[in-house]
Amino acid sequence: MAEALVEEDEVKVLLIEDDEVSAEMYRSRLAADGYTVVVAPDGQAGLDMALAEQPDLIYLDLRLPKKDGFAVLEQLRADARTAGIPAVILSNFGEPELRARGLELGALEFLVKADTTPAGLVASTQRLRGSATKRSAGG
Amino acid sequence: MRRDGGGSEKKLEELKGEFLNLAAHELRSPLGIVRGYVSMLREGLVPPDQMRRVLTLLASKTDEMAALIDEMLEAARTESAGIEYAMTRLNLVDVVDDALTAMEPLLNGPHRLVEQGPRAAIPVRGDRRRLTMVLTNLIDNAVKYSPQGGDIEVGWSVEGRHAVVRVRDEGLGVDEADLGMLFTRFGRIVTPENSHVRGTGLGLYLARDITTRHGGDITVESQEGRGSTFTVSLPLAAGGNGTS
Repeated sequence: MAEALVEEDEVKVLLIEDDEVSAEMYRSRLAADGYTVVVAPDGQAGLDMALAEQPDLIYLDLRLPKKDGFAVLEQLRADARTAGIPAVILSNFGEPELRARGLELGALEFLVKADTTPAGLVASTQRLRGSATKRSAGG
Repeated sequence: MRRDGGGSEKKLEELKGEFLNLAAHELRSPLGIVRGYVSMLREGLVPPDQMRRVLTLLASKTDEMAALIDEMLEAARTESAGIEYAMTRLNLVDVVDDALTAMEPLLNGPHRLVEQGPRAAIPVRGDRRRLTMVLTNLIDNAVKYSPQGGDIEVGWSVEGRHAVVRVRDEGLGVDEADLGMLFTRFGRIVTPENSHVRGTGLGLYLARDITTRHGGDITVESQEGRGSTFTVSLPLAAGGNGTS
């Protein structure tokens, strides 16, 4: 299925994650299913890469150097060039108030890393691909 | 008075709540890596040439979880009166070696470890596992709070009647006004520069608690933006050379 997806159109995922080990684990698993993955190691780099790379989907950690995940999300939504890119929070904080704040700021979903295996992230990406594809089709 | 007391209790409850959230987060980080790579191993998605790296990583993450659980249990024990230390005559240099060996994986990054001290025995009386925890907590702290790298100096010596270990970093440092909070139970100082740094805030609290239970003390000198030096001082055991 993943190969068919790549043949049809490339899906680019931006992973904003400062933990190198987590980033590499998720990157390699998504890449194994044919996704193109770019990684930003801090919040500011994440914003810059979102603009430059125009990914189809963003996974965003909350505790990040330079700019935390909520500030990144706010800026992504405030900028017309990135406002339409679906973003999912992927964090090890899972408190209800953080979840609520993330969703209120426009995150599509809120995933807890410890409960999200790399295969789970691939499944989530496939599920959310609809949002990404619609966005691509819409321009 | 009453209102103030209630306010303090509320504040303590808030701090405990924050601590529990942080502790859960700290455990979830290595747990997520272990779960993730185990699932990839089961899927057959770890290439043979990556196997050794992944297994080493899994071992280090499980060690990290075990150390964190030890730290939390140790913190819980500090509240009970019946805490027992396995006091024996020790060579402080062996304790330093234990700590440096345990922290070796963490010191492979952008930091340069500088060791300074005599190899001759420095006798102290103490609980080896707990004294090692004091030093690993200080080294861990030095690594975490100097994200840009730099030297981490671990030095040991005899000063008067005390065995002394100093851990110095070139990291973020601490504002003078915040120094008093460093060793408190839930006293993690969060600034915009360090808010992404992992930690429960228990490490330094435990380091001081363990050191004072050994009849010693920890002091800190720090300058914001220029790094910190933590000094652990322990009484020399009888038979120590007592020179400087």
